[in-house]
Amino acid sequence: MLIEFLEVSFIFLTFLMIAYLIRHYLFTLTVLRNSKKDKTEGIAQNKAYTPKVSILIPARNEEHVIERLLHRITELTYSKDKLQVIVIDDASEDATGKIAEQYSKDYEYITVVKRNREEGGRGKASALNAGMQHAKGEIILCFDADYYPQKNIVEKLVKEFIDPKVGAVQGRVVVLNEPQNIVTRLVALERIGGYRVDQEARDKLGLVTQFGGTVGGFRRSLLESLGGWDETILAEDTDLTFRVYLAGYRVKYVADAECYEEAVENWRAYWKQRYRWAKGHMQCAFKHSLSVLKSKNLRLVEKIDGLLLLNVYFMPVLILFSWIVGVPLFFLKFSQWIPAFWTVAVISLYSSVGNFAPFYEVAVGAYIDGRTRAQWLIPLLIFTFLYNIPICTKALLDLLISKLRGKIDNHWEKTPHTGNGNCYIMNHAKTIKR
Amino acid sequence: MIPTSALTSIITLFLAVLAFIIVMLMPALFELKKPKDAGPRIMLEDTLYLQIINASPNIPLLDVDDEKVELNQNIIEKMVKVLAVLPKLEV
Amino acid sequence: MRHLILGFTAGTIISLIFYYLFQISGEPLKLLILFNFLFVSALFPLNGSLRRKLVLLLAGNFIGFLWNNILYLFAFSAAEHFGVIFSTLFLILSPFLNLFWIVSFCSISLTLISPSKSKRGAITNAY
Repeated sequence: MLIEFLEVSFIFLTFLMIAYLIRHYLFTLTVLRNSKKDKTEGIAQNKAYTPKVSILIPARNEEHVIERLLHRITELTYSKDKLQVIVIDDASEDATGKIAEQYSKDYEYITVVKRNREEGGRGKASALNAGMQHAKGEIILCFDADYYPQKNIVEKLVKEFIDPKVGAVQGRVVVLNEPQNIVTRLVALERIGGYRVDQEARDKLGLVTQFGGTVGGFRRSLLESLGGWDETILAEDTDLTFRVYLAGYRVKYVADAECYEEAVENWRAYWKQRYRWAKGHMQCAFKHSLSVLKSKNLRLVEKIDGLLLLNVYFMPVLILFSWIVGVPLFFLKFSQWIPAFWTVAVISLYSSVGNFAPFYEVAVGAYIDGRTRAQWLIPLLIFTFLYNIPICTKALLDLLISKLRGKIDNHWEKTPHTGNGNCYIMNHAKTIKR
Repeated sequence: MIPTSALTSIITLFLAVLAFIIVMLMPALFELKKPKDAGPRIMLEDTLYLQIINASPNIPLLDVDDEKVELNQNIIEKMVKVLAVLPKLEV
Repeated sequence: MRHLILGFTAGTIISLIFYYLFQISGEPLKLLILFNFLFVSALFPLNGSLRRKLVLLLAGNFIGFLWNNILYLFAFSAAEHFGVIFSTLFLILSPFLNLFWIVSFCSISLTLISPSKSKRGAITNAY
């Protein structure tokens, strides 16, 4: 009985992996076909639509990077009388608040919402909700403190809201400190696969495009009707993505709205960040999977894609499970499916778990971007995936344990930013006296 | 211990496998050691690009010895592309 | 699409040639088929010279054939000598090792497929 159950599990897992691989191959072909078309979109040209925009910047201990972003904000080409920038100083213990206050004094469209120790430090969702209380704009955009956007990014993101079906937008994230070390270079490859191919394909195919938590935004009216960010979920961006789709709207990916980010610089920081993503994503899977299945606002393909997206962080755990169980089963010759499963599983191993993008997605993304030498690093992606296996496994175990105990453990482990990406930007802001 | 021929074969084959893996990994290691990839990707500011590209085909640039030097649009495009790949230059 | 169809055709022919000429079967044959499938599906849709792609496909098959011979010779010899422990380790690691060379070869091949166009494409797509 147990053997039969395991054999059925292997068959199911094999087909699940094949489903992911086919999905990503279709994404790759979609983007390739699309990249050959003449790109005539250019910048936002609809000058008639210029709503008031509120930019939320949650910041906790970001003194190395916040000034760079705030200086960049002052260079944005969007009309400043239609712009409101809210920096949420989330109980910072460094000079973040002081830097933000200085900009607030110099520029009237920049305000600082200061949270004390009792209110703050509860995670990004909490900080964003606090900032939203002060937002007056029709459109709310979010930028993390370590980001550095294009000057006309607001126009590019905002123009999509002309379509009443668009509830949220997402721009492209590009790693700024890519040349720094092997970690940043591999993360950059992941980003290329995830944004250049995965997100773009999902948008072009009308599937579930994901709001990534930054370089994007929402209609304020929709956000308010959804109750803002869910502070009990670690992946508040994924949670909002699905709530937007379940409410009958969609997320629009804007490929030419680019923003630099500072990637994690060491494996320890990588672990913490991906642990948070994995746990948060799994929380969303538990919360939304059934709703996605039952939703009348989603087409069948959106439901399938939504479920695959929601459950993507379980895949490394399933691969680990299959190895543990599969080896003795193979030697005992109990299942004919194991070799097939392992072949498929190993192809999937060359995946960056952020979007579970197999190597060919990353490769084609790098190819389209003209990053020929960066492609040489693709074989090393297997190590990031292997590293993601214990990360996702621990996330799942911690989540299950907390559910069994009835305690919600949403400790937000913030990613530290060192400002090492500053050297790649020529004209970053002058440092102010601290 | 006197190595048997079987053990010698195994060791030789193992070294061959290892060598093959290293050869396969060499491009990645080479790129890590001496990166030639021009990352990070440059974000071009569309406004500047479109202004240049949409400019009139013949742009009078400067007066050199009472003669106007004109650059046509193709050259302007090439200049913009050169600017795009300079790693530390933000356009 | 044309390149893709030609690529799959070429991959099938090459696999059959190896099968009949070198009498390979079982795991080595499966891996060559897998390589052909992955290589063609990932690289043949891209812009680039068909001739170059076919040459790379053939080169990949030869490298794969060489790799399979070395690896499985080693595996059989070592399994005879070291027994079940080695067999277990080999079972777990061999898919990684095989995919390793396939992915590495695919990555290098990407850079060899129309590199000058790719660079232009980079700048164009950077906009």
